[in-house]
Amino acid sequence: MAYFEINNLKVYHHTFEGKKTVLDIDALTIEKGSTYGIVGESGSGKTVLALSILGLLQCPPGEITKGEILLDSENLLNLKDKEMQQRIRGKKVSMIFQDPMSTLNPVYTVGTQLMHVLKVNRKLNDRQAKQEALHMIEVVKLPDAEDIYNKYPHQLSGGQRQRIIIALALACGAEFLIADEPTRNLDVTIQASILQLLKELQKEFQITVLFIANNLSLVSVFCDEIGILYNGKIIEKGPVRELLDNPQDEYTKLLISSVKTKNDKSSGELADEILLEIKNLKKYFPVSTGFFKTKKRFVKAVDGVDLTIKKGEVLGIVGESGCGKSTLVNTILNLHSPTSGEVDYQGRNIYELNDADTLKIRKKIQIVFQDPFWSLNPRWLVKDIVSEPLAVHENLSASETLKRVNELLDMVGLDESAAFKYPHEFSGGQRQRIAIARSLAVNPELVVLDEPTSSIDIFSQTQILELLQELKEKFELTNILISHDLGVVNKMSDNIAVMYLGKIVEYGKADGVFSHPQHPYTKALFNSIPSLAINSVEELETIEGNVPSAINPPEGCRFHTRCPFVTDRCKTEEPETVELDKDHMVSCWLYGENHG
Amino acid sequence: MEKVSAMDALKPRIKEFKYSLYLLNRNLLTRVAFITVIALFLIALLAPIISPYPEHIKDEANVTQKLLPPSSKHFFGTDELGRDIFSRVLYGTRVSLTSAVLSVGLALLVGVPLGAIAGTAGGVVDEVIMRITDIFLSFPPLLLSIAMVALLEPSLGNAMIAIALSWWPWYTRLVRGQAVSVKERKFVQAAETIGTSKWKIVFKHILPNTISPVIVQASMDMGGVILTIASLSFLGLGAQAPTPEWGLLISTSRNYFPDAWWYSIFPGLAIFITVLVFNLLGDGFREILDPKTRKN
Amino acid sequence: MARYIVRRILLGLIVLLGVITITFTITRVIPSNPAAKWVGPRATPEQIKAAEEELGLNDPLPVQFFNYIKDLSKGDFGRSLRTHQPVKDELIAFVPPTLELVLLAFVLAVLIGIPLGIYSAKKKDKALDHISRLFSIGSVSLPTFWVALIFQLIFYRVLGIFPLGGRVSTETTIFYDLPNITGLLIFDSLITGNWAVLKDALWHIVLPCITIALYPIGLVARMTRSALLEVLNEDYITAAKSYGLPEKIVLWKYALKNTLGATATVLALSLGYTLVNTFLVETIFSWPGLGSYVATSVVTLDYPSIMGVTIFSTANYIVLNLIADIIIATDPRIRL
Repeated sequence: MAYFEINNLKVYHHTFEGKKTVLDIDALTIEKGSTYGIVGESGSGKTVLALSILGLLQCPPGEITKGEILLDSENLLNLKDKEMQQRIRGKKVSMIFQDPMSTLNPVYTVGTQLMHVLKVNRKLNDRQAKQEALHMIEVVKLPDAEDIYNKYPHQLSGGQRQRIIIALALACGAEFLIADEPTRNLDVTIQASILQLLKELQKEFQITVLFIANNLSLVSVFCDEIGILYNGKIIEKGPVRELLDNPQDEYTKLLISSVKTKNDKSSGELADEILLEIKNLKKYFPVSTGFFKTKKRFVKAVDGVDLTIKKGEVLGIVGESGCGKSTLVNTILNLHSPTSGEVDYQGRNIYELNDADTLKIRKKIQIVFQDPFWSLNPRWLVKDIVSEPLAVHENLSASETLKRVNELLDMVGLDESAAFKYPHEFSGGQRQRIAIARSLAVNPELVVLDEPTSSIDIFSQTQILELLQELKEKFELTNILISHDLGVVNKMSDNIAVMYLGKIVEYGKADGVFSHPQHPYTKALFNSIPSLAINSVEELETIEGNVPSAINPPEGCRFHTRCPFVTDRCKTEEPETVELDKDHMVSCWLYGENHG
Repeated sequence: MEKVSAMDALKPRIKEFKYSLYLLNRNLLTRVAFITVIALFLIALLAPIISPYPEHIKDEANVTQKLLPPSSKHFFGTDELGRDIFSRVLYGTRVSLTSAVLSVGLALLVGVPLGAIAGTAGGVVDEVIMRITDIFLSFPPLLLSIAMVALLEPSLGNAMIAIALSWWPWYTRLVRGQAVSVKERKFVQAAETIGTSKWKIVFKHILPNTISPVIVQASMDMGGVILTIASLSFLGLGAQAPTPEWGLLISTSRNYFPDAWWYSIFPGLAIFITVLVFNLLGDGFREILDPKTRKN
Repeated sequence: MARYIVRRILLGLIVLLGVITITFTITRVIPSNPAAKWVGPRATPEQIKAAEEELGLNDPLPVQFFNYIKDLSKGDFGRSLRTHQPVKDELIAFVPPTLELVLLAFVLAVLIGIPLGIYSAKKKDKALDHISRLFSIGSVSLPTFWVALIFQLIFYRVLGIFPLGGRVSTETTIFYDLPNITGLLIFDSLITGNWAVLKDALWHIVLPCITIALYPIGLVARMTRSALLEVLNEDYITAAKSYGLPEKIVLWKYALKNTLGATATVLALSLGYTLVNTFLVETIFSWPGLGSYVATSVVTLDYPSIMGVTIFSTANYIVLNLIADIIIATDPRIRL
């Protein structure tokens, strides 16, 4: 008998279109002390599984009709809610949720929340509970436990919050831990350290872990065994290496190929014509100060960026959230005016044009946004959405417009009937096709792709990337690609720029930067991302500390607060950009002329 | 070609409408409320035809018939002038619904554009508009209307103006909040990058996406406004005799209370039912227009 | 925190100034002949002339506005047309009975409305939730003045349990000295130990109090329910349950504390409605308070009195909302 077993579990969800099966698991077994990973996309039933185990699934609309969930041979489904609360939850089984901000109660301090849990589950008095709470804060490796104890959740960083959540889950001796995408909303560099902490605690307390995520690489690095969840069913399972080396199911193969990245772009030489030149661009946002303060403070979102994009080039911009890549793009798109600096489009500064010329530039630069659910007006028909640029820039009759819309839809692989539907009638991938059709409506030259695949399912991701590449060739487009998915950037880009706190720290040919990253930040960033080639979380690189605030960025090199190679000079002087070779530049004192 | 496309353009809207109707029908209470509201509008429309004594809505006196209890001849009894209360209550539907629709409409006309402007423009414009709404909303409910009508001469028309003037800030606040969040949606940015004009962005992108909660609020407010009009009339600040307004009927009936209890009971029941169904409908609307419900 | 409160008080003063601007506009700018309004329809030309002098209507508007504020700050609301007494003195006489009624009704709204809302949320979509929702939506749909009449019909006329109106019965005023310390009769008779008066006063306040409280009860119950349901859907509630916290701690400590802001807002709003309801029913129950005063002033078009009540009530309402905002500000999420 295994430690944890699921047999024949069926979970339904009642909607007004009827009863839908959301989970249908024949068999799943986890041995004590091992780590089992469930990989599935959103909507595959991952969270339903987690909540069903804890008996916290909302019924109705949910309904568990049959099957058993056995923990130490005891069927959890037979227990009453009261028993689950008194014997199981927190004591034997615990859970880490995905969003660290919304998982902690905002109106209590971290310490109070730990106290509540300890007092109820372990019948401790106030003094003992406080001592134990402080101990738990130390167990999850947060410095200055006393200080953290008195803080409210909003006063902590994302990584710190996630550590507190781990402390809460483990405070009362749970032996079985469900981790539901525990690092989803964290930056990759923080993710690595959280994963390492979890692994360490797992060994120390001999915890069995059910690890749930949508990222195959992440799960493969953390777990011993994997089950692939698709539409509520486990379609394939087995030990990590076996499954990765010899996948049987088509979907598994697709999943694996989507994370194994090949650089398959055509490697022709770029033309010499410069399309867009960004010169010392700065964008500061004023921070609202109090009623009485007069001194203004700024978020320095983009702080002195220089970049050149040639015609036909694909420039990838990578960096963690908050590094300023979105602000950079929005400033290039002239959505807000810059604090200083200029952007020259074909030699003309776009911020100094009159209205008519600005409109002409707008026609030439288009954007495809990350989330096609929000980037299409839900109250407009697809034909109106796709033809909006035509309405602004070209004077076509209704029938001409419709004809053009049909051409565009055809081009992105959608049926003509799509024209008279609303966006919500389409899947994520199809919606992204609509967004692409619209961006191409007025024959642009430069198309900005802002995380074009990160909100759509894996099936569509590959297809959308292929479509984008095909269209790029066909219309000789130039692209700026923003993505946190290094695989996507590697696949598509000619050159890449790495951003950290509003500055570009490294720039060069994609192949060069990927194979030989130079800046300590780039190295850490690349090596902290789990991939199929990595066997355990210990191999991941972590960066100490949190990303500093962009309101008061550190003096000197902005990365010096977290850099393992920091010198005194880094703390005071800002590094200049050093050209390592013709196609590779880096801003770091390690490579200054004194070193060379 | 053009004709076909016009039909095609209509189809998805019909589908949306049918879907809304389906959702509306799902909840029994909402369905009952919806049917009753339609019935009330029909009564208001057909009052002269369906009321047994249409001539009784005026001052006409019929002293021999005064203050008779309910009977098969006069369902709701008669008043101090011998007029049929049933007919007057039916006519009251017309008075209440018309004045409520006009008041809410006027408040929407003022409040919605101001809210859209405040939310989209931001900065000083936003600050000024919102502080003005704060000032209007800092009067206890009803009190501003009382003060205004009292000074303007009591009449139904002035009551409607006063209600609209004290009600618009609610819509401004609501629409502004919506506009601020819609403004952040990517499709607005997308329109900006294309070069769509500011004017078009406000009225074609932002306003249509703020309208659902406004519909909910307005239908809920129909109930509140009907209640307020009746209250003002009860205080003598709204409709004046011989208008068959429900609040005014109750006010007059107090002179003959509690002996002629029917005189007070039926107009009050009419107010209660009308306000109740509008509130229920508003609740139902809120549920079906909630994106969370819709997505499932 | 301190800075926020100062800021909020300053904003409150700005709003008050705005309110005064509106009342000034209503009384002096909009009417074509404010002096004639001010002295009433039966005034002689001499009286109108005198009123013009008194109100300073011949001064330019900014000067008038300045004098208007100056008078208000001294508590000078003019003289009542009906009684020729200063409105300020009349307010002092009429406020305590209304305050007694409003406070008691408000307590009722809190004590019934909040538990009803909590209960309804806890039993969401069960039969009792439907009943309580129907009750609360019904109670905000009732015309208050009509309810007053119905109550009189049932409880006085048919059942004969409660008196028709007034604060105390005539016999009580004859046989006992009514205590008058704060003007709140129930409170006064309680502290002076005058049990007979207390009993009679309680007897009289039941019907008006319930009538007035109905609307706020429904309002509070509905808002509490929806605020609580929203919080119960939050991740941290599911998380708290997953740590093994029992239902009652989750509900009472975790969920309710998070609805504090919403509750404070709705309580301030419901106090506003309680006050307004007194305007509609005090006359029906012959309750000698602000509401009766307004109702009579409205009928006789006694402008100084109406404006006096308006400004006085609004000023109090602003203070209440200020208090609600300060309560909300104790929420640690709001960074001050």
